Amino acid sequence: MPTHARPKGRRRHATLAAICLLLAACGGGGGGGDAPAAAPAPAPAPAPAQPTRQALSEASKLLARTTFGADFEAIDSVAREGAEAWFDRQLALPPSLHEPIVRRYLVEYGFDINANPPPGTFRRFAFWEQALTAPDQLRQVVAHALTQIFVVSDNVDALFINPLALSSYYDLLLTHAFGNYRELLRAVTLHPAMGVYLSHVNNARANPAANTFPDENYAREVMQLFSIGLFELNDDGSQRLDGAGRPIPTYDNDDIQEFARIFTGLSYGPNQPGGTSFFGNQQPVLHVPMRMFDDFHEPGEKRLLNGQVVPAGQSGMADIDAAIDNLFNHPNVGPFFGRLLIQRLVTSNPSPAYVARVAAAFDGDGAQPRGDMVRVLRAVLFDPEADSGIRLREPFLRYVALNRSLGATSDDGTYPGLGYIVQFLTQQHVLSAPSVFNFYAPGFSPAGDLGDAGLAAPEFQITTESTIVGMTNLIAFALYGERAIDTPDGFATIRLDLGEYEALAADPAALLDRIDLVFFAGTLSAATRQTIADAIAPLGADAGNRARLALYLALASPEHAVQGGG
Amino acid sequence: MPAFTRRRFLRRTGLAALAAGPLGSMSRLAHAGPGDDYKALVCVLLAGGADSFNMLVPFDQTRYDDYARIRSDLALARGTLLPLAGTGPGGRAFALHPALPEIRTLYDQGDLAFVANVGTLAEPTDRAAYDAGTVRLPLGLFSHSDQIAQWQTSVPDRRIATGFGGRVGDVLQPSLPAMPISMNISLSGTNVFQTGATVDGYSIDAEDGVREVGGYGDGPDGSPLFTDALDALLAHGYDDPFRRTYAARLRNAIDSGAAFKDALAQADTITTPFSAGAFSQSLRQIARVIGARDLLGARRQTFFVTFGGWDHHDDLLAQQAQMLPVVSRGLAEFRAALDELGAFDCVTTFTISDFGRTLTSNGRGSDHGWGGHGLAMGGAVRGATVHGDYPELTPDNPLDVGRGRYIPTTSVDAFYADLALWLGVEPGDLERVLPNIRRFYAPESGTPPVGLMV
Repeated sequence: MPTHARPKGRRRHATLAAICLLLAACGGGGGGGDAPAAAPAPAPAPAPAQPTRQALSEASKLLARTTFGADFEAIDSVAREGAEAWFDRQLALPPSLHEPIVRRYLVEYGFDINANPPPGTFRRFAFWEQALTAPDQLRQVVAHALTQIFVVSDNVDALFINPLALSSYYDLLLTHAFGNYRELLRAVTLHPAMGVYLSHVNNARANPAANTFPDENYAREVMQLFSIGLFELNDDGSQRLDGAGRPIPTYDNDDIQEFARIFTGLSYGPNQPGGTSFFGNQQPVLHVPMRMFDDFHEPGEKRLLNGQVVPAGQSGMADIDAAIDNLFNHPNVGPFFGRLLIQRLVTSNPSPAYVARVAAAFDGDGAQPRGDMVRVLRAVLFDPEADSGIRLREPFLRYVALNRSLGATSDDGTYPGLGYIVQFLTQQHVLSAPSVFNFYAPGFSPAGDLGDAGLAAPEFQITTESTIVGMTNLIAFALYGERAIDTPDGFATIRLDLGEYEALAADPAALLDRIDLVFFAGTLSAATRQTIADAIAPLGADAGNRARLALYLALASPEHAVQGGG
Repeated sequence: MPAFTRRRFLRRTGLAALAAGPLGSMSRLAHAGPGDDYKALVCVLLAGGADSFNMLVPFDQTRYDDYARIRSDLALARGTLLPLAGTGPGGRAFALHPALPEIRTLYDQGDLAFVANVGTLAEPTDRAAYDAGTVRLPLGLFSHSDQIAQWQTSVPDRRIATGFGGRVGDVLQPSLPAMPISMNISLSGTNVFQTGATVDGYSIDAEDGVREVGGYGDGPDGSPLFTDALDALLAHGYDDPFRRTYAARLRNAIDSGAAFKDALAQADTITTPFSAGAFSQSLRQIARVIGARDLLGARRQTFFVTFGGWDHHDDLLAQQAQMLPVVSRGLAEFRAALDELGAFDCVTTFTISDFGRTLTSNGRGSDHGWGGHGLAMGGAVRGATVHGDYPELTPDNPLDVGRGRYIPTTSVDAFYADLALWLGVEPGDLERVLPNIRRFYAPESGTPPVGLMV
């Protein structure tokens, strides 16, 4: 975290003042740059008819899950177009990648990636630019969900200081988001950011003379977290039990040692075509896939799961492909990975039947290939149960959505967001988890009402006295502060555009209708509505203050903090 | 702090009766005066599985040679180690990693001790039973997520939602004076260690301390509109448990935060300097809270702080050389601050970690192991001692279940039993705090199992 100062006296706006000081401390160098043109979304042909309130609400609900946040215009557009058509159009959009933005900044500020390390924050700039402007929102959101399953993080120095590492990793997730899970898992395995994070880069074969053994880190986590999980599952995600009623482990430590032998021999790939590199002693190249050095790969036979054996003498890459296939074809992947995706995109507690439907989509059939991500995503997002899904919003996405829904706009067309403030106040920022176990455990259930009901609510794991107040203050920061998103000094200023809400402020009913639609998908309760109406009534004709206070209360409310279930 | 905030808090929590009379000072809540009985545990989680066999190293020549042989390229040169005064059990000598000079001083002064080869055990386990599969083992042995949780729950044969500190709170809190906040305070967010059936953790920030909602009380626009409306929003009855939980949590954060901040503001400031960085700053915040113990009416507290990044599959030597000084310096600063507060005798600080690591190398680091070494610091700790059994690092040691993963010779249950008994848990309540303790120790025996505490 950056250093920051706090004012001594506590006066009105003390928290905002502290935040603004924090901003100054986050400053970097350089001046503003040329504005990248945000690619305009291909516009659908608008239907002539005015969408119904019902259609607007449904569109709002869909976009809350499938974008980083939607404003009224986007909701209205989807209500006219229809969910399916919008979804298909999203699938057809090319990925809006992060690495090119990082490279644009490298060129603009004259950094030679091979000579001196550029600011790692460039990868954060790339995220914020695409999150706020990219048209392929569905893909961006799915990639974000995948960052919380295939976790790497800039809490490791090597990944913090090189902006190509995590921008290219996010691009990998974008590229495979609508592809096949097998290729996704393979690409994740070979990405050097993962190689650094789970230490299978430069993992050499055993050396009995030196008493050294293959590193077991990736072997364990690729099974436990990325593919099959700890216990054998039924298709509906419930645990299979043995004769004595106990769960059945999917693997043991011997299996891990066998897989550790598989993931040996990988080192950094060459920086450029024709470049050379050699095992164990070269410059980390963190944006092209790792390369196999067969001399450092374990040569012998390896036993995989479910009785499969990899023969001795294969090339290292053939071994890795065999291991990826072995995991990919394990019956656990559908329910295990499917449940994680449902939790990231729709609801914390899918029913067994919902998981089973997603697992079936993953498994495919004679006509459909196994692991087809689009099929899986369709099953996750359009399941009949998705409508009643409920989950606590992640603080990070809650903040991103606030900015998008309220028209966050840059004064020079660039979006060099740092995201240090949201991270400081809520302990969350994309690709910055504290460990490979992400910000929260999928099964976390807080003591009290939720725990007593046996309900998972992962996001409550990072919702403490400290961060829940931090989140509330973050909303005030965006609405009342000088800027909505922290950027380095000398770079663009990003502000919300509340004009649409100010224009409605004279008519509280219309203002609340709009807030209800955009931020609550039309489910705002009468009680919350009344509370906000009462609060803004005394503000009379002051449109700016009325709109701000109404939005602050709406966005800080428990009703908005939780998505769905309304 | 405006008085109405405090009044609102007192009304909500039913503590108003305790504070009858003018609401001048939080100390009216305090039934404990200076010098009264106060004790606290500070749990330092070295998350990731610290390679503690390179922190506490055998030093007599023969055993050092065994160490150097099994650790190969991970072995620290004997000449760089910091020898500890005296000898451990069996006339053995030990030394510390060269990056731990302050800890060495603390140890030599008798302020700090180690517990050797402690780890998660479902029941007493030897090699024969391990090989034969006739003993219950911790679930997910060698895996981070399970082991880091089991170190906090001390119930390794089940996945349960309560931890050692939380259950200590469940047992002790009913007989303690009412406090405006939980007795369990975390500097590192939600954790299972401090979660009990009735007692939960309360989170403060390492740098900000207690956070308050900006504008609450005086409004972002200077009016009471925001405050009154937020109060109303948090008071609505919500049908779904997600919103109910969120509303209750924000309500509690606002109310107890105000009361807590009041107490901290009235407490004496600490002049002991602390280093920058999250670990030292977390310890500084803990010291501040301990400094306000009388104002808070605290008799028993637990604190929890995580220092992560110890999963050194690679770059182990360089990383430890960088990270261990942070621990060493932080503990020394904390000790000095506790001295300043006159609280060193009543605060016991101890480290836990996911697991020890393999003694053998993977060429750049070590992999997930089992038993490892913890330390404990405090005036009540029987210091300058290596408690427990430090295993022989010979190739034929049957405790080694592969690659230098050692079966723990002291269970987490036994380690925690010493701490719980010191804190004031009655022997008859020990099983409520440590459900598996009878597998390792008879609570009615009268002598704590490890002998860690004076």
